[in-house]
Amino acid sequence: MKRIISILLLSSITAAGFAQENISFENNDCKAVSTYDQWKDSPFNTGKLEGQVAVIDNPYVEEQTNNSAKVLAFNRSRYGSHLYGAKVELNSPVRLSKEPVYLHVMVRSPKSGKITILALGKRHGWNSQSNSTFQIARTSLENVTADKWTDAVFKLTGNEEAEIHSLVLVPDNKSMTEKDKDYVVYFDEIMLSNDDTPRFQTEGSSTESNHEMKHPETVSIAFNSRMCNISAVNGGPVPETIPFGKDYTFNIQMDDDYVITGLKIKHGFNLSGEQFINKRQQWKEDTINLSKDGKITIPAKYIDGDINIEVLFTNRPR
Amino acid sequence: MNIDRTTHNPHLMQKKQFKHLLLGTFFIISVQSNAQIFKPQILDNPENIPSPVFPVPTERQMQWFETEFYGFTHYGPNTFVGREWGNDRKPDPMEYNPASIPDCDQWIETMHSAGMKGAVVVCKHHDGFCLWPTESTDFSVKNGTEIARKVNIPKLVSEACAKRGMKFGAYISPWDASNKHYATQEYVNNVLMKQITEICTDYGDMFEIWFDGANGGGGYYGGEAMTTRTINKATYYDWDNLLDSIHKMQPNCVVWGREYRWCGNEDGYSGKECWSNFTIDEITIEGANNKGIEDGIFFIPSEVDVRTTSKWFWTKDDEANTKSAEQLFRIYLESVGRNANLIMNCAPNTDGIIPEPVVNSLEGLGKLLDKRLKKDFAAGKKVSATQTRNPGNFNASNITDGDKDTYWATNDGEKTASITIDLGKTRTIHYVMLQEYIRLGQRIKGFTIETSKDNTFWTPFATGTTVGYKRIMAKDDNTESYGEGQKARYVRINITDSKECPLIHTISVY
Repeated sequence: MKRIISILLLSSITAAGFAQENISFENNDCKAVSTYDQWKDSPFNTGKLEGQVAVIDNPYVEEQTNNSAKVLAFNRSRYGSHLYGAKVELNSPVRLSKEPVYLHVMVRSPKSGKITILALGKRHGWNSQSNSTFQIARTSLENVTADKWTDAVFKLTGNEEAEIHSLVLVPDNKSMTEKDKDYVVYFDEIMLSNDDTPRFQTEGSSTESNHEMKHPETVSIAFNSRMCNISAVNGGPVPETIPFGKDYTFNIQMDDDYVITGLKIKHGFNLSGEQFINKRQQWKEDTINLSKDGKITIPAKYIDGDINIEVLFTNRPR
Repeated sequence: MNIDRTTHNPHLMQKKQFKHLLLGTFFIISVQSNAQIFKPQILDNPENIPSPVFPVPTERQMQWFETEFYGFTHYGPNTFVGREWGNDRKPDPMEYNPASIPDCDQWIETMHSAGMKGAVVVCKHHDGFCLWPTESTDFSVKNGTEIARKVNIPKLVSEACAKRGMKFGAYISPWDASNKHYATQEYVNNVLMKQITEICTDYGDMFEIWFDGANGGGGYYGGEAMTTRTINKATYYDWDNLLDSIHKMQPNCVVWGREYRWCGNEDGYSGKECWSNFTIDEITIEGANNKGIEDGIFFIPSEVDVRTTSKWFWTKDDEANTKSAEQLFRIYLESVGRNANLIMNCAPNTDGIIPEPVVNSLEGLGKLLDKRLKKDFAAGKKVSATQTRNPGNFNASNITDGDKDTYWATNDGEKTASITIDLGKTRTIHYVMLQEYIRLGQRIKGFTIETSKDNTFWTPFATGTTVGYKRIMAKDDNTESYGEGQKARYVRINITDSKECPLIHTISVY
């Protein structure tokens, strides 16, 4: 049976200002809850199974971290995909912005790891468009600690014409989901803020930081190269890994109509993730200015982790 | 990514005590114990189908992957002024100055001779000139020369594709260096979206739409001098809502940046390790494009784009840089043979035809593909495996039955196995091709290939990491030359690592 929470207006968040209104599941502060699976052939989409989610009394109400009366309980079914979660429909849509805002969600799960949110909505003014169209996906900056409340934080940016109408809270985005059993995950106190600092620290929390890591012998190197040809010094293809902490030399040959202006070098760890996690820097971005192509050497100081190199260029004057 | 249906039926059971409070239209359920909140659910699996390893491709993406190899055409004003991007000159529709209607039939016939299964045609490049009579801007063939006013490139190319049973796709540059509205939402709403709608509505079915990731920078933007406008590539175009609109018009068309990705270079190679898994953020960061992201949560496979000469648009002197058929064949091995699709540029000249050196190389490529990758020594041959999933139809014989919808698999948790193919007699082997059943996700992380003449003494052939949709292995994974090959009757593939039970639908030996 569907559980519907009566409507209470949630203030819209704009880039110019914001309100720290919570969805706490206490006072009719969202339109509805349900389940959602992004996988088209999910048994929850084909009708073979019904999703299970409900607002319930907080089973951990005695704990100081979160003693609110009600929480959202979601059955993380072994049959859902890695993007199967609890869907929370907002009372009012929230407009995205190219300036970041941070979504905070309290999570309690028996599994540690990252949480993902999918934002569903539509483009403002496209009246015939479904308001359940995928908008953005974000993975939490924090790892959730098993069996403890964690404040998972998500950085939200997007086109200013895009509206979020629902949030899907995905507790486990691993490619191979738990096969042996279902488990219950709890969510609470959803809040938008301009601060990415977790509302509280969770004992035993961890992030993917490289601070305690011993450096590897080799690191990966990747190029983002348009209008040029990149090759090793011997003319062959560039390798996929190079030695840590040593200069690296290679060739760039620009196409006729373009002159090189430099290289943008992203170096460090977790290059696909956020630059700062819990204020710990994962990677840096530096620019080397160049006036001509040919043999180029990346100094060893930039080879302090994995490297992505983007070739910067401009039109050759006519 | 299409969003299909949601479920709206949470279910509660086994509460010792509950209290209903009806206020308007909501319910609150009170649970006063740690008793089970939700009911157990069981889903029968009588055919013992393996669970997916996510992410998995959509049907649209599978059809795209199976297209494998197709053409690209860069033709327009840049052809006549000898430039690549065309953003650095004041827009003038008269610069597109053909002497006759371009021969798009010749373009498609040339691509067909190379073994391509489709064509993606540039309809508008960064200069902003539209090669069809669009309503979105005055900078188009509508206001060009007398001949130009009779040209409609997407119409000509789509009709030529239809004649030959080839697929049709279109390229529209999101960056528009001539449009005065560029960098505002006015451009997205009333120019770009209008152009996309016209292309997606007026020229038949499409299999791919290409949105170049090169963005922003210098241009005239409707003014009298060069200025610079930059945008945030990740947010400006609102790709996810554009994708939704495109799919309403073209349900079978994959959209760049959300359903497939750029491979990260223009030199014609995919990573030896290449995951179709990726993240949306990385589409604009462009750091992991060549290799993919093993734990990426979206299925966004790689496409390799490459030039048959050294430029995207034709120039006379660049004809001397036409790649040979052997070079193009190597590119094929390093793209289609490395879990990526291949889009190969065939630039027409000012006469409106693909020039002879390129035609010759492409015809040569078609012959090489036919000669080297058509006769499968393993087809219908006997296969054995050290592990086979049971119960169910997952026998090793599925690997050589010629049916891409049947596959061999191991049991859950068995991540390594060996497969041996008896070719029936000694052959000279140049390539071994593996294909995972990726409808249930990409899995294999490591493998080796060995050959034998007597099924007793084995000689190494190659070592690899990922497989994905297709992986073609030359001896020692060396694509530099066709080489002498390796004589053998038996071919053994050892899967040394996999995310979960490996699934292979075809192994071919050439």
